[in-house]
Amino acid sequence: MASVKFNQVTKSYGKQEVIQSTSFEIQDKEFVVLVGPSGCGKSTMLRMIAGLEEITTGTIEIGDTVVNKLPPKDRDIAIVFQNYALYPHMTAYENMAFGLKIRGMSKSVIEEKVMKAAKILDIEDLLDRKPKAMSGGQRQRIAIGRAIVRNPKVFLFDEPLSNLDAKLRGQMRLEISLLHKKLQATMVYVTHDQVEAMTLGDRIIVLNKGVIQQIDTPQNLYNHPTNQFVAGFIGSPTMNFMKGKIYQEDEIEVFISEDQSFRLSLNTVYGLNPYQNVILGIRPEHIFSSQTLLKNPLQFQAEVRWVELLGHEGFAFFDLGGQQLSARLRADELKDPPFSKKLYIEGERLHIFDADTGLNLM
Amino acid sequence: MKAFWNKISPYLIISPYIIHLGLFVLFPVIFSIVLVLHKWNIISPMEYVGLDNFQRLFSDRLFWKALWNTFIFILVHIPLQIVIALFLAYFLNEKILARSFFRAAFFMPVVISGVVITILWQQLYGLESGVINRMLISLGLNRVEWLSNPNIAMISIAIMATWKNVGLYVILFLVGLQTVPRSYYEAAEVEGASAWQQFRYITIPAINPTIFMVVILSTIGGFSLFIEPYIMTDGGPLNSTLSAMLYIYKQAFGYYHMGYSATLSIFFAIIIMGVVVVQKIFVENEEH
Ligand SMILES: Nc1ncnc2c1ncn2[C@@H]1O[C@H](COP(=O)(O)OP(=O)(O)O)[C@@H](O)[C@H]1O
Ligand SMILES: [Mg+2]
Repeated sequence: MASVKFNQVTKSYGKQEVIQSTSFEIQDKEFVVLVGPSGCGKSTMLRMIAGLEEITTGTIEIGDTVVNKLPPKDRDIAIVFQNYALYPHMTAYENMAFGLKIRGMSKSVIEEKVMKAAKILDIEDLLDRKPKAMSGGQRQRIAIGRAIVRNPKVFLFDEPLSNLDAKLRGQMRLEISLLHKKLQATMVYVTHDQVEAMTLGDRIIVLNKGVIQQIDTPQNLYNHPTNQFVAGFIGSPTMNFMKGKIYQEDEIEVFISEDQSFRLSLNTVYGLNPYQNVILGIRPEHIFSSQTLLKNPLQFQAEVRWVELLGHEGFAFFDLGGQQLSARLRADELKDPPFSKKLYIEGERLHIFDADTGLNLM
Repeated sequence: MKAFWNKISPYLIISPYIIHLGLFVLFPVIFSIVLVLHKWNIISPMEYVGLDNFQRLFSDRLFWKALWNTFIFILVHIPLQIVIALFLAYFLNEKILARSFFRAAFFMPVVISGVVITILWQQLYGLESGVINRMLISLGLNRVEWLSNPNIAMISIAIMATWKNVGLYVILFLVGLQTVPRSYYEAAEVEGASAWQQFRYITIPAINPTIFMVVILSTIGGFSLFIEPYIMTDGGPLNSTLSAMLYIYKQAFGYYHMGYSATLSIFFAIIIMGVVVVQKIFVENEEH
């Protein structure tokens, strides 16, 4: 098994630099998820690890070997593609056996390895079928099977679940997670879906426009996003943001929205610069209708204009400080809009970002 | 009035094609079936001869030679054509310099008249003054009797026909190659397949339908070999380039054996159909 190390790696297509200087290390046996919006360079990063894309500058190490010049087949990696890339004229068995056959293994060894992988993935009864005759989920299993028969040091996944429906996606997510425990291999998993990232990753690399925003555990990304991008990207529904300025009143910091219509006393001293332009961030699940359990309740009045019910809970939408905000509340706390309601922000859960740089100031 | 027009207009619109089909396809087919049972030299009235024409066909050594010649042509032409077309298409599908220029260049001979090309190649193949032989001699090699040696003439014609038609098949293969997703190759590359193994195990099976189409098209095209030997060699030397079509033509318009010529045509058509069916069965077995 092996670690994967990026040392000041960049990637350009012509003049366009799609990955800016990037350094990080993925530990042996770690499950790391690369997440970011479409076009941010996730696939490019993964394909550079695989050797399908040349590295413009810097070095990539797998294990302790610099692999810049190694062809994909000598890197001891396997990749699972979004479109599965199963060979249509071969059966599932032949698809899984192909790489072994190419490497000149004997028939009996191949059979043993394929059957072992098939057992792990519970696909023994699919082995005679061609990809055409399988569902999306089954094809994805075969594609994963093809990856595990070779017992590679590093597994690479490029959005492997995005072609599946929501229910199957949830199920396969769990299976990939279990597979990681079973195989004890290093896995790098690319997705644009933050839910997948949060549920699968030991650590998550958040990427935007070819720049790494944060590398951290799912919990830390959620609780301590380093900037406004990560805060908005991680968590669903997305965090509420409000532009404004910080003022100092009687030793206490006060936030006043850009349009002056909303004033929030922060009840604490964060040591923010007075008159600094900031963006206030609060997640919908950190706005409550009662203050009893809150450490630092910050009260305000919401004029609820719209409500979305999801059974046991729902979202209240209201305008505040020139922004539309949402709060996640219990269904019995919601009624037919419009209505006025006293709500409390948990001050401990508040985020304040620099309006210019987007950096988290807390 | 309008309703009437709506009803009639579709028929009017397709009528030119129907008239063409009737006049130049259906009528000749039916007429030649009738001719099979007759003797007719265009001038005197038809004479019913029963199955005499067939009897003659089976004992006509020259016809069997022409058929054999045609098979020789096809056996050289089709593999040559497929290999060259696939090879060219493979490289034209890569990111090479002046790709569109080459694509157009290879297609040019397809649209030039066969007569023009044949006359051109007749010059190239010339024994004394032909460019090819002059090049061979300047390289210190012996000249080749391209068109005058009975053992070589048909192969020379096959080479020329390949040059003329290959562009069409390059285009067909290019279309086929472009339907193969890049990720198949990437998956194979990661698995350790060499460029040749990728070609053999991924590309060839993936474009199998295209290969089949090319084989069928060039088989049918090969069987109808006519213009080239007609202009270049008139079937010679020693009837070595006498193709089946040329022989049928000569029977009809050289000797005015209309009935016999029709019999040959129909017999020949059945052979072509037979070959195509066998090819189809073969390819379908390959797929499963
Ligand atoms: N072969 C290529 N040539 C030029 N630009 C490319 C190429 N491949 C990707 N890009 C560009 O690189 C950026 C990152 O692409 P990609 O890694 O595929 O993004 P993601 O997988 O995050 O959606 C995009 O802006 C894309 O347009
Ligand atoms: Mg991608």
